[in-house]
Amino acid sequence: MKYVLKRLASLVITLFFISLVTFIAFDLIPGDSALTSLGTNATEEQIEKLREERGLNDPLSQRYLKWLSRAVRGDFGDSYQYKIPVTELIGKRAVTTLLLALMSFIFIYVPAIPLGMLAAKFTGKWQDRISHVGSQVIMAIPPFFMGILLTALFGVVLNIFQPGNFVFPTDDLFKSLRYLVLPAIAIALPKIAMVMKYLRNSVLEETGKDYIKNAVASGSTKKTALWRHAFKNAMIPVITFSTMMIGEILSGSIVVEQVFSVQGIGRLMITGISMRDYPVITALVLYVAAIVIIINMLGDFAYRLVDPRLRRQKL
Amino acid sequence: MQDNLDQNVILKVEDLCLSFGQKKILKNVSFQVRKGETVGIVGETGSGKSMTAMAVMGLLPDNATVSGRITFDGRILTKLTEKEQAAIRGDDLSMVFQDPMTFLDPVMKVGKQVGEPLRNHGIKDKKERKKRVLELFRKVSFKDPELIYKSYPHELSGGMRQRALIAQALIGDPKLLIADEPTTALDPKVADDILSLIEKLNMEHKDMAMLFISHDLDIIRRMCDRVLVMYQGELVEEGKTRDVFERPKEEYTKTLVADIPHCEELAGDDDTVLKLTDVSAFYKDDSGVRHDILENVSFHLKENETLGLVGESGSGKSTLARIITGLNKEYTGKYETFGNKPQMIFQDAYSSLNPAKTVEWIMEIPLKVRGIKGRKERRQMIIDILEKVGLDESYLDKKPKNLSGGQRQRVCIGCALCSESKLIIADEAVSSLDVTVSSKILKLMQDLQKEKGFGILFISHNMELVSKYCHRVLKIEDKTVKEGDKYEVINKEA
Repeated sequence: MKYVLKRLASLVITLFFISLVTFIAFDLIPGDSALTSLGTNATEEQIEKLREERGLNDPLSQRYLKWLSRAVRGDFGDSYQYKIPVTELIGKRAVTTLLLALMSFIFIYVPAIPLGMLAAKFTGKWQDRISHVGSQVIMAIPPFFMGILLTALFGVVLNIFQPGNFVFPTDDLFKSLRYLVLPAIAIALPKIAMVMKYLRNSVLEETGKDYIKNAVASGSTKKTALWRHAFKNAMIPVITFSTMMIGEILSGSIVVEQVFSVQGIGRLMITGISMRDYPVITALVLYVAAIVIIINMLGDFAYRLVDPRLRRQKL
Repeated sequence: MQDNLDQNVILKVEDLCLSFGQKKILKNVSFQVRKGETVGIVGETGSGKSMTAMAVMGLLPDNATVSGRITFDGRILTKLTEKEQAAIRGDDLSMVFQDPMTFLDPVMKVGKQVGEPLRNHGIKDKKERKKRVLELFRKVSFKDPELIYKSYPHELSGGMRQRALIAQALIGDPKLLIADEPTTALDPKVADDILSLIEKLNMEHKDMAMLFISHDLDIIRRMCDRVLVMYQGELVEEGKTRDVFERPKEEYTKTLVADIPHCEELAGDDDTVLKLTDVSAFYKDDSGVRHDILENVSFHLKENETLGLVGESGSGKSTLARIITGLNKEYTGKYETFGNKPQMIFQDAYSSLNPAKTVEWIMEIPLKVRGIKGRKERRQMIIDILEKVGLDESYLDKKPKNLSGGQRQRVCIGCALCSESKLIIADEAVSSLDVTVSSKILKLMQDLQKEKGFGILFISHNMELVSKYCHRVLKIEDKTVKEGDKYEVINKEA
């Protein structure tokens, strides 16, 4: 419990600094949000008026403090381009991305774990070699290309969903799932190969260890030794890898969202940056940072769950 | 086939050959173990004794080529399928391994793990397994079996883990128990307890035969009725333990049972090379609290003298050595060394030598430190020293990984000689070496001492070795050293 509080405190502090850095960064990089919003045909006065309205003419410190005092109350302002509150805008898309991540997660682990164990069991045999070649090929295909292939196959040929269209899960969960299955697969495929290889190598390392010898000497068959003993130990490095991977997925897969027209965090980020939609960008940066920190925290818990040696350690 | 098998023979190994590619590990090994008998296999590292055990257990690596026949309890093991072998392992045939630290699955509770053989052999009822495990835990003298049952391996000490592993090996009431160096990785006192436990269990299980593998002759002498001596993959001698040790027939066995070199009388008017006055060592934990390891240690060491330092592991022997060599700064008190910086010889010569460099490069460092400028001059000095430590010029370009354990230790001694130090600290310097190699290294150190006159601080856990090899003995006990008559110190221990 104390650990959770400590981590939450560090989360808040980190977010504070990140927001500060984001403000400074966007102040430094060139670009004018008023100009981008109004277009090149706008007059000087119109632009100046909008700048004034958005408070862009105030000094940086003043802008930041104003933003901060509202942010602590949960108000991140309105989006310049959508004209609705940022929280609402992000909330809707975060749910989409979360759902997408959850589905990818299932699509990654359900096949990757048994495949990894099989590859480990049949090291050096043809099964292992096929999986090796197969995973190389899958990892080599860029996700956007995979996306195009999947869209062409399921959207155009099989007509399962309408390419270019999208339904938010908050509007209609069931319909939305149909639009999310393919992007989830596109995200999952290369990661399946990675997790599988990771697990295979990790299991192989474990099987060389003494406790496996002892398990076999105690009458375990190779299969029992693999699943009852090696598996849990082998999962420890896989967890490390997974926390990094999940953080990445939750921050929005920009390419995949773009290809499948999914209205998720990644797309919002791209349009936000190109439109200089500061309230959206700042909030998004904070969202991503928070996600990464929280996932790492969960990863730490997962370690402790798997490895009893870590439980007694000082947190 | 069955007919000519002696009814009393539980294990029969015939013409066992084993090789990895071109490398022959075992050459026509044949022997028998009778019911209830304890047979020892003694030999050096690489003699093939562990591989023999692995072959019997069917635990050989996949790339091993095996021929010959192993018959266990009337069944030819070498002809059984993997499944059939698994049905015997952990039941009629079981094994206790060398290092209890690594042979338990770190993420499974000890009790559950010890019950695994029962589960593997069809006892599905959890409660029944637990009952049996607790019974065995009491048998191996655990004070609180329930607590051990719930613990994870890392929560137990080495001795406790080895007890748990013994319980696991015995849980299926085996007809043959193979023990492969079961006490080598343990502290002397703990090792003794474990041996007593095995002796006791052996008495209780009259029908259980045991194959006891060790490089330690004293342990073999204590445990075994009969002994097999292995050398370079061959069985060179076999017989009753006492006969083999007292009247060895083979040349190799004779060198194996050869004695530890004794120390010679000291003249007595030598200069002091090391003097410690009230040295206390401590460490600070994460929260900065000071913990004492040693308190007020005072002693001295003279030229030509070999001073033994004994104590259990964790008692502070190595800490003291690190202070004297300047590696550990967390101490109070005063120590004085005379002459060049003291040189240390470590237990693990392999990890104390830079694996990426050649012997010449390694041995050059102390010469450079001494300020010897000429490259040729340094090279000649190294060659001279290599010859002194029983190596030659051809070793200059070799890297540590291409040397044997004994050769590496010779290189370390060579380094010590290069520095012309008056004090050498040998920290368990021969503990990981085989008997014959170790006695050669000890002799070498003694000869060099006679020539150069340095003092040796000889740190070891081996009481017998220290009592013979050292002039005086210090014992670390309760954070301080007790000096005294060496026989007194050691006998008190026993």
